[in-house]
Amino acid sequence: MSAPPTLPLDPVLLRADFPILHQRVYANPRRGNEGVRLAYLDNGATTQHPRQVVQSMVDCYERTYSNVHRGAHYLSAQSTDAVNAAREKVQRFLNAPRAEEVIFTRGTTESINLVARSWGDAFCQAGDEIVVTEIEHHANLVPWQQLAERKGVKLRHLRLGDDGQLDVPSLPSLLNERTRLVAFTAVSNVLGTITPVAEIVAQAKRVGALTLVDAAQSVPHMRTDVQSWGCDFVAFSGHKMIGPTGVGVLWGRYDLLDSMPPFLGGGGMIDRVWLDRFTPGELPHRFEAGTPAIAEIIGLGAAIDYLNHVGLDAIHAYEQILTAKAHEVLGALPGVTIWGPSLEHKAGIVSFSVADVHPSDVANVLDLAGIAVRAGHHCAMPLHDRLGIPASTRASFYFYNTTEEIERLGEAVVRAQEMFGRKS
Amino acid sequence: MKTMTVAELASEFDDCWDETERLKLILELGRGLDPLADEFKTEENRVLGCQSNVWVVSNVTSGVPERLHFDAASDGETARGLIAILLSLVNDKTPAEILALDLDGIFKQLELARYVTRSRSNGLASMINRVRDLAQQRHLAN
Repeated sequence: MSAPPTLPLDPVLLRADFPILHQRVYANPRRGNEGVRLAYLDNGATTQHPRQVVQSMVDCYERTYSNVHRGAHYLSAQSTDAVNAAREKVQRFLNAPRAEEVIFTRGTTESINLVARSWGDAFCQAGDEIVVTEIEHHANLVPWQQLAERKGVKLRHLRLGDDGQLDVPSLPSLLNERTRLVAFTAVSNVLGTITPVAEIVAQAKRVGALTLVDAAQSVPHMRTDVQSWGCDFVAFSGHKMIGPTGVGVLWGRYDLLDSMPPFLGGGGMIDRVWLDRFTPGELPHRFEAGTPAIAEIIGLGAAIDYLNHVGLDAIHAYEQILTAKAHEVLGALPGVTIWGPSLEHKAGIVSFSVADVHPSDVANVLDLAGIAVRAGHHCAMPLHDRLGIPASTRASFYFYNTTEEIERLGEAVVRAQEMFGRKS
Repeated sequence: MKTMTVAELASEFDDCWDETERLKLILELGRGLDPLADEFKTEENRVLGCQSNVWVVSNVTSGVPERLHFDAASDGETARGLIAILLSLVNDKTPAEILALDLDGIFKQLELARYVTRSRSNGLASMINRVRDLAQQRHLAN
């Protein structure tokens, strides 16, 4: 008998840092029913928090909390230093040239809207074109549709191939001298497709177009290097990378951000204000009007420390094992269709359909088995239109998941098939 | 589908040992739902806020006082069971009687509260709102 393969990381050890994962759900003491163990497989929606992240925010509130950049006092200096330190952590995490290129927002959605409003309104004109893809989350579709309405910009769409990957060979036919921007995801939130970011960026550059990468599903799971990508904007969220809600990042090239007008007006974003006018402040403050999410930014910094400690390469390698396990388990079940590309092009997201069982019914049975997944269109209705299905069931993994949880997922799907479907 | 009292429903659900048994009972009740003709499965009759499609229509019965009879359908089986339970509670009652029912409280009593709070996946909260709206419209029209 061969020895078990060595895993890239130790999920059992890491899980000890996540109290929320160690619980039973649907217990009913009145009936002596102890409930079922929780298996959290909804990480594409949001991830859980290790004690270290929670503690960093507790420390902030108990010891250093104050407003940043403003008060001339001890606590304010401490808070300002902590926020600056978090900004530098993000910079290093992305391999970004400068910390001032890191703009703290509320999340991916706000980051993309910031670019659409600020850059889009300032630099796009009627007749200009923006290319988006068929697999985008609504957050990377609707802001461009709104810009198209405001400015008369034309949207063009890069299609999904039948192999579950973007039809990148057709991209040159969508690009021309009117193309201002190509906005696309690094990892599909439904199919798990890993897109060829550097290749798409290189093609866009050939016609002088900018690129925005929705990295909400990639930054938490694999090493990011904005310089090797060569792109112009990157957007992602803290809460999908074991960080707090309410904080996210827009990274942009310095000279580009510096050419853009402010998005929101208010305190903190100005250089000088008179009664009738203002001059905008320096980066990054120009895009951070109002009091930022101070404790959450500090929490995001702690999340990055934790992820660096585990190692992004180890996380990605381990998630490949989990995804392969999910394909093995679900792929063996008759009537189950797994959507998306083959394993080598896929991150830790597995969406599937069960023949003759509605996705909401699948999710309900899984939920009763303690398995948290998402059912629905996952904020990607056009993609589901392309697949020809109204909804799907999605299991999405992180480094604290185990292959045993995926076996339980398979058992629960079988139970759903037994309870529903296959009758007439 | 026959009308059931809260006590009858409670007694059936009380025999369920766990959530899976409870779900099986929900599905069984859903299978007793009278079919709804396809012509009534319109956008107007569709209940928004449900992941599966749910359609609800109401008809006024003859006689005094007038009573409401609801019919419904869904392409999701859990949703069909939930709407069947809801209709068994409200069918053939007067609008005033329907409006007087604490439907959220009843589902809580049946230990089905999880289906009300998880409104986005099963839409029970939206179904309750639709039935109450239809009863309210009829109540105001009288």
